[in-house]
Amino acid sequence: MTSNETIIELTSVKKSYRLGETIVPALNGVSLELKKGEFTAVVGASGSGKSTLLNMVGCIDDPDSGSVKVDGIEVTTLDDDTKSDLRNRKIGFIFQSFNLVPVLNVFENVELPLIINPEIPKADHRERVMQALKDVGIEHLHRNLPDQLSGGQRQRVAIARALAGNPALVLADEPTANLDSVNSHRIIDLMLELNEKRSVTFLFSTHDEKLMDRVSRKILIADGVIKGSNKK
Amino acid sequence: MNHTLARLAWRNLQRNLRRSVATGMAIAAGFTAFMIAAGYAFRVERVLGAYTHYALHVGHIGIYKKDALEMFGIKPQQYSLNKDEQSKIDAALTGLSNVDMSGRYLIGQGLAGNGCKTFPFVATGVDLTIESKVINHPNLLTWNPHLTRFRQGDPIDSFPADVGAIAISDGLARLLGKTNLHKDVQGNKPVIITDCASPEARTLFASDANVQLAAGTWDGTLGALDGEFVMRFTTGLVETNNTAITLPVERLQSLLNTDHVMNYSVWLKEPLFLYQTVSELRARLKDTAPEVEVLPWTDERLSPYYSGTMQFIYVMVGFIGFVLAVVVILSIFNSATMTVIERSQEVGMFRSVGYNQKIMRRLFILEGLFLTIASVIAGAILGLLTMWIINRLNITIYPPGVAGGITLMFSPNAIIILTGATIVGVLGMLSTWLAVTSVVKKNIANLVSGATR
Repeated sequence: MTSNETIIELTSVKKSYRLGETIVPALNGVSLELKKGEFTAVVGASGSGKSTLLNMVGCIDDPDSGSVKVDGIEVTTLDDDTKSDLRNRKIGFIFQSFNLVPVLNVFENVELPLIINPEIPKADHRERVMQALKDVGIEHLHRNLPDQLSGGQRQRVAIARALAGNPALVLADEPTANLDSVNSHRIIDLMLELNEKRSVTFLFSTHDEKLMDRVSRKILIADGVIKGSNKK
Repeated sequence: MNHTLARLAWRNLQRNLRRSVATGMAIAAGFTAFMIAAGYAFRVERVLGAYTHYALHVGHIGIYKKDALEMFGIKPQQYSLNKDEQSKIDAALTGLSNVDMSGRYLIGQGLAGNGCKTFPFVATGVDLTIESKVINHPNLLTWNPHLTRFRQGDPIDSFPADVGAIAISDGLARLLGKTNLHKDVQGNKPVIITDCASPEARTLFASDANVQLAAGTWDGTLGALDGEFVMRFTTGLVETNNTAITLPVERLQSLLNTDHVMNYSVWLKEPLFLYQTVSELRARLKDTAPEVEVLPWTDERLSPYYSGTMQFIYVMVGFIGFVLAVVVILSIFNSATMTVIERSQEVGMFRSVGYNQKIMRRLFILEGLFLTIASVIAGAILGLLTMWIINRLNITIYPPGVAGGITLMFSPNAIIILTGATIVGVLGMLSTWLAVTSVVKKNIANLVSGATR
C-alpha cells in the first residue's frame, strides 16, 4: 500500500539537550524520508535518539538545526498555533502509557481530537468515533471509563483516538512497552491491519525484537545517527 | 468545543475531591466572612445615613455661611445666615426639581430648669412646616426603629404656638424630673416649689410639663422662655441624650434674640443626583450669596459621626475583603499548580493531539472558575443563613457612645454580594491563569514524557 508520495522528510536534523553543565547530543544530523502508507519501526538502544526522532516528526519538539517537512510543509518555521493545527489534522499519537483522560469515557477520549478540528462537523463525530472504535474492536466498550479497561483495551482506545481524525501519519512511541507479549502482538497486528485497511502511515519506536520482524521497514538508530534502513 | 471543555473541567474537579473540597471550603469560609462583614457594613451605613439625614436634621445638602461649621459656636452672629441671605437661599431652592423639602435650623445652648435645678441643654430649632415629615420619614422608621420606639407624646408641630411646645431627650427629661408629658398633666399650671430639698419636690416636678429655658442672647443679654414638654425622644447617643431639646426655630430665635438661622437643610427626591444638585445650588448662589457655602451631607464636617464610623467600618470590610482576596488567590493558585503539575503528561497528550496553549489555559481556567463559583455559592448560602439566624436572635449590643444599645442586625445586599462574587470569580480565574500559563507553554515532548514534573 506504499505510495511514492513523501509524507515525512527530515534533512540534517540536529538536536541536543542540556543536562546540567553537559550538552548531550540526541540527533546528530539525521536525514530521513517516509513514503505514504509505510509501516516503519525505529529501533535502537535506550538513549539512541528514537523518541527524539519521533518528537521531531510529530512536531512536538523543535530541532536545533535542519529541516522537518510533514506532508510537504516545513514545520520548523511555524508558530505554536499553526503547529497545533497541523498535529490535529495530519498526525495521530499513540503513547507508551496510553495517556487517556480518566474522567472521560472511551467515546469521549476518542472524540478529543475531533472537538477542535474545524473541518469535522459535530454531527459527524459519533460516526467517526464509533467507526474508529469498531476498527480497533472495542465499540461495545464506548461508555466505559479507562480504569474499567485492561492495558490492551486502553491501548486500543489510544489507537482509536489517533485514527479518529483520519490522520496521514500515526506516531507511536514504544506502543507495546506497557503490554504483555500477547497484547503486544495483538496491537501490532491491529496497527498492521489498519495500515493496510486505511492506508495510514505508521512510524513507531520499539525495543521488542519480535515486533521488528513484523514491519515493512526498519530504521536503526544509534548515538543520534541513522545507521541503517532495511525494507522488506 | 466549549461544552466538552466545560464538562471535562467539571469532571476534573472530582479527580482530587479532597483537594477541591479543601480549596472550596477556604474560599467559602472567606466569602461567608466577607458577606457577614458587608451585611453589617450595609446595615450600619443605612442606619447611620437615615439617622444623619432625618434624626439629626442634616438632610442631603447643608447650606451654611462660609466656615460656619468651625466658627458658629464662637461667633454665631457672624457665621449664621441673616434674613437677606435666607431670602436668597429660598429663591435659589425654588424650582430645583430634585428638592423634596428644605427647612431652616438653628442651634443654641443654655440652661434648662425645673424650678429647683438647672441642666445644660443644646437646643435645635426646627422648621415646623416639615418637622413631622422629617422625623416620620419612612427611611428613618425603617432603619432606626429603636429611635421611634422610645418616642412618646405628640410632635411639637401639632400644638398651637401659644402652648410653647418643646421636645426633650429622655436623659434630660429624667434629670429634670419631668416624667409626665403635657398630655398626661394637661391643664396643670406650673407649680412653684418652695422647698427643693423636700421629699415632695420630685413629685411636684412631675406634676406639670413646664420647663424653663434660659440662654445668653447673641447681643449679650439673658433670654428666657417657658417650654411645655410635649414629646420625649432619644437621640440614640449617650453624648447628646442628656442635653437635647427640640423646639420651633422661631422660639429658639426668640430665646437667642436673633432672626438669623444657622443653616438650611435640604432633602432630595433622588439622592443619587446629590452632587449634581449641589453644583446647581452652588451655581445659583454663587452671585447672589457669595458668602454662603453648599455642602453635600457626605462632607466630614457636616456628618462627622457618619463619616468617622463608616470609615472605620469600610476599613474593617476592606481588610476582610483583602484577606478573602489573598485566600482566593493563594488557594486557587496552589490547587491549580498542584493540578497542572500532576496532570502534565495529560497536558502533553492534549497538546500533542492539537490543543493549543489558549485552549489548555481555558480548560484549567474553567476548572478554577467552577471551583470558585461552587465555593461562592456555598459561602453565600452559609453567610445568608448565619445572618438570618443572628437577625432572629435579636441580640442587643452596646457600642461605645450609643444610648440604650442597638440590635445586632445584618442586611445582605444583592449588589454587594454579586460584586463580591464577581471579584472572587475574576481572582480565581486570574490565579488559575498564573498557575497554568507557564506549564502549558512547556515543551510538549517533555510534558508527554513527564520530564517537567
